[in-house]
Formats: sequence, C-alpha cells, structure tokens
Amino acid sequence: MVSRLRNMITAVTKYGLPKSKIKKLGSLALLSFFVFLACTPNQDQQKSTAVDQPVSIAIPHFPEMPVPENRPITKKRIALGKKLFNDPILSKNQDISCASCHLSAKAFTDGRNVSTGTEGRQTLRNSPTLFNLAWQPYLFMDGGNPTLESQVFGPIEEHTEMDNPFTEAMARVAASAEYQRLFKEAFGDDVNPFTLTTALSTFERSLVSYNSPFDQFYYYGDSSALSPSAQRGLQLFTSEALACESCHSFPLTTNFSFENIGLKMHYQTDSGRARVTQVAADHGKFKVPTLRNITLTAPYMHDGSVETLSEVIDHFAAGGVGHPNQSKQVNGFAITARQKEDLLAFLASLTDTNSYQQYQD
Amino acid sequence: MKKIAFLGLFALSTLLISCEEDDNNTNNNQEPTDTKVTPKFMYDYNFGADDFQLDQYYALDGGAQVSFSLASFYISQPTLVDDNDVETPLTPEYIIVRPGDGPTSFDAIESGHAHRLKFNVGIDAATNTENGASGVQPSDFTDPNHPLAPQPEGMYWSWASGYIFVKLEGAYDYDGDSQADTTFKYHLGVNDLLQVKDVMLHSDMAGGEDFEVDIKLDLKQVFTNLDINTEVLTMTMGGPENKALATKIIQNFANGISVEKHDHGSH
Repeated sequence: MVSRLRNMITAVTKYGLPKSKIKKLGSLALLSFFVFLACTPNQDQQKSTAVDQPVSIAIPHFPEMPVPENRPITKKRIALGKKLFNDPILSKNQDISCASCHLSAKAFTDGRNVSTGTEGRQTLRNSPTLFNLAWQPYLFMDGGNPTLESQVFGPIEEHTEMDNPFTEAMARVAASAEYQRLFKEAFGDDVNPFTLTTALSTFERSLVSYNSPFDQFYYYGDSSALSPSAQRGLQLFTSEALACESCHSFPLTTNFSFENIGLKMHYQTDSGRARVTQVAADHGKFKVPTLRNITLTAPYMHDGSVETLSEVIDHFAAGGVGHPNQSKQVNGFAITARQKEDLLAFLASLTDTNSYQQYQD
Repeated sequence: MKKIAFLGLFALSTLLISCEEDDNNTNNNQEPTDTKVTPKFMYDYNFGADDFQLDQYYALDGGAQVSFSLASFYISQPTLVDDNDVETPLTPEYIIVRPGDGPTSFDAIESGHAHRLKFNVGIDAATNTENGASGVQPSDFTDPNHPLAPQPEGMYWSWASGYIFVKLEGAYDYDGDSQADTTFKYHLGVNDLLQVKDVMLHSDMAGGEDFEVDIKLDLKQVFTNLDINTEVLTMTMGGPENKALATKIIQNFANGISVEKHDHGSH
C-alpha cells in the first residue's frame, strides 16, 4: 500500500490535479496521511516562482505548515536543496556534506554521541533529527536561531562542523555551471544568500514524518496498528503519573519548550539555552526534542550520553539529579518491568519507517 | 524613513547666486543644481600615533605587542542634525567598515548646516535579529554586496541570531619578540551593547560640493583597562563574564572613534 500511495503522491506533485480530484484525495487522507496539493499560487507566489509551480505540504492531523510567503515550496527547489544537502561543496575541505551528520536511514541523525565535523572535529551536541523541522518555531537545541534560512549559516560556518565562510561556499556553488542552471530553473535568479539558503530550507521543510503506527491508531482509528503492549504504553505516556505528553505533546511530540531534565549537575561545556539568553535560570535547559522515529535516532540526550531508550526511561523514573533549574515535570515515577516494556513498545510505535525511504535515492 | 531637508540662509544665498548666474547665461530655464551636497565618510584607522594596518605589531604598555588579523565593524543609521534638531538620515543606512576601506558616499542631501552627526556602532535593535524572526537576517538578501548580507569574516551569529557589531581578532606578543604568544577574539554585539556616537560638527555644507567627514579610529583605545594576559576571548554571550568583557571592549572601541570635518590641507 505504501508504494501505491507514494505513486499517488508523485502523480499529484508531478502533474497537479483538478479540484474535484484534490477533494477526493483529501478523503483518502485517512489512508495516506500525506497529501501534496498542487495549489493555485497567489499573486506573490506567482511573482517569485514564475519558473516553477508551488506545492503545499498538508498533513491532516498536523497543524498547518508555516511557510514564509516569499519562500514557497516548489518541486525544483526541493530537488535543488536535496542536491546541495548531499554535496560536500559547502564544507571547507569539501569532505563532508549536511548528509554526513543527517543520514536519512537514521531519521536524519548520525548514530554518534556527538557529531564529527571536518578534520574529525567533535561538536558539542548529538545530531538532531531533521524530520518535521518546518514546525520548529526556533532552531538549534538552545533555540538561538529563528528561521530555517539563517540556521543554514550555523553548520556551514561553525569551526567544528564545515568551517567554511558562507561567502566561500556561495562562491563555489555560483562557480558551478550546473548549479547556475539549477538555480535559474528553481528561482529564476542567480546563486545568492536568499536563493542558496532558501534551497536548503525548502528541502528541509519537505522532510516530514507523519505515518507511524501511532498515527494510524491515534488519529485514524486503526485499532490494529498498535499492539496491546504499545496501547498500554500510550496510556502510561499520557498518564498524570508519568506526564510525558506534557512536554512531548501530540501530534509533533514536542511543545518546543526549554527544559532542564536533570541529566547532570554541571553543564560546563554546553550551558544550553543560557548561552543565548544569559539567564542563569536557563542553565542546562535544552529544547524538548520530538520523539518521532526515536528508535532510529540513538544515542539520546543533547550530548548523546545515553545509549538506549531503556536508560532514558530509567533516568526519568529516577527523577533526574536534582539540578536547581530542573523541570518540575521531572520528579520521578515508579514503573514496573512490564510497564517499561509497554512504554518502550509505544515509543517504537512512533517510528515511521515509510517516511525516510522516500527521501533516499 | 523620515527625510527632512534643511535649507538655511546659506542655501538660500546659493540659490540666489545661481539665479544671477542663470541671468547671465542664455539658458534661463536651467534648474539650479548646486543646492545638493554629497556627504562622505573617510575612514582612518590608527594605533595611537601610528597609521594602522592589519597583521603588523604595535607596542602596548610593558613591552608587549599586538597585531590584528580582523578589525571590522558596523556603522548604522548615520544622521546629520541641524541647529534646530532637524534630522537628515543618510543613505545607505548600514555600512561595514574595514581597515583600508575607501570612503562611503551617501545619497545627496540638501546643503545647509551640519550641527551634529549621529550614528550607531553596531546594528540598531529593530533591524538586529536577536532571538526573533522579526529583524533582518543575512539570508534575506539577494544582493550579496549588501552590508547586512553574509560577510567573508562572518559578521552574524548564526547560533544566536544577531549581527556582530565589532569583530576584532589577532595575536598578542607578550615578550616583544614579534612572535605570537596567544590569539585573541573579541566578537562584540547584542542589542544593549549598541554604541551611539553623537558628535558636534558645526560645519556648513556647501551646495555642489562633497561634505567629507573623517571617521578616525584609534585601536589603541581598545586596550584601556584590558588585561591582555587573561582577557583574550569573548563572544559577548555565554556567561556574565563574557558580557562584562565585551561591554568594556566595545565601549573602549567606541571611545576610540572620533569624528571631524575632513581637512583637505592635512592630506
């Protein structure tokens, strides 16, 4: 069924559909969860995308995807962004690409404790999943950047990542006849700060994960999608005692707040949110991560210091180390071995193995 | 942008003279063109009494030396103010300044009297993106040459979403052997460290001419009350000690900027 749905999605994005057909597709959303709608562009969009047709990504049980008006998503921009994402041209030594730390098979993480940049340099943080970035109100674990576009400067220029001035990366891309052609086709414009960042951000917005067994069970009434154990785990997850959902809110499984989870008493090397706000009360706080595809994104926590989900549950059950800034929600709970298995079964049901496959070549 | 012309008696007399000249010419329909003046900023980096260049050592107190590999900064919202406190904002509104840069030519304004000159060292808070998407970001620009577009030396904190107002990097030579003993990095910014310069010019701006102003920077002032042995790094953010050091250095930096009407006789 998955391949049939993927073919349907391809057909919609490739050719566009009359409204009646789109409506019919909308009714099929219960099955597909995922609809690319070829919309009639408004005047602004027509102006900026005269060379390509905009598409909107609508997931029925997600909030509407926020997309900047001057940066509509188009097929050619997604394709161009994907090419850049996988091209080491952006890094100083042309030895790593975005995909080096964001592997599609690992839900766009890299499986390392912390990421490795050019020349083997170690970053401070665990590679985050890129799925559903479009809904993030701010980027990075400390929320220091407000848009997907200006976020692009971070990994390219950071010394421990690509270590390349953005202007140099841009000059390299602009020197490529192939990229010149692709930018003209996607934007009707040259390679410049706006178009280069928009190509990458557009690809990132297209990375959506929405079709897990949990989605099928919770939003579309497929009672067979979750095992009895996973269903019990869901009840635990949303229970007052564990209160996981108070921060890992549905449907995105994050409320984007900054929390200190009492991982350790001292955060010397990475103060988290406090690095941005300079507020002592923010020391050790990091943005609540999504739990979607959590079985694909080990190891865990901002520094990748916890290897397994079982240990993550142990941490929260123990109630953290008692950091002065620790979230009040992290206050410990009792959990039996069977309940822990149930909770792990539920977390596994958040894994959407269909989504990442469509991003692979 | 509010743009208010200031026409004084000087401009009026210039206009009258122009009319007289027109009377002497056959073309009586010719519009007077010399009521406009083109402001210019001329940049002059110094280290104490010495001319400044990047990658050269300059003596500090106690036998130590310092050299800079970067000494870039932003000027924003330059504005001339007349005797009646009428402000004339200059365009361009944002300028990045580096050692050896040529003059900045602003759009022509009406001639008159320049009583004061105001400008920011740094980017004004409404434009600077600090923890919010409402400001300007380098990714907004299709023109790669715009001062607020990405710069080769990186004048924007992607991890904290704000412009770096002043970026100073280089090396200290503590024993005077002209060998670097340690490097320094001073990346100074955030909204509450914006430095406002408001200086007296008290100069007439004659129509039909350039109005040239020297922006002189004495980088030696940066080291006032600075412990070069321990205070070698600040990104402004990341803790109160970083902010305190950044505050001291950007204030020193701004104190090192002086402004005066350009004297053609001195060059």
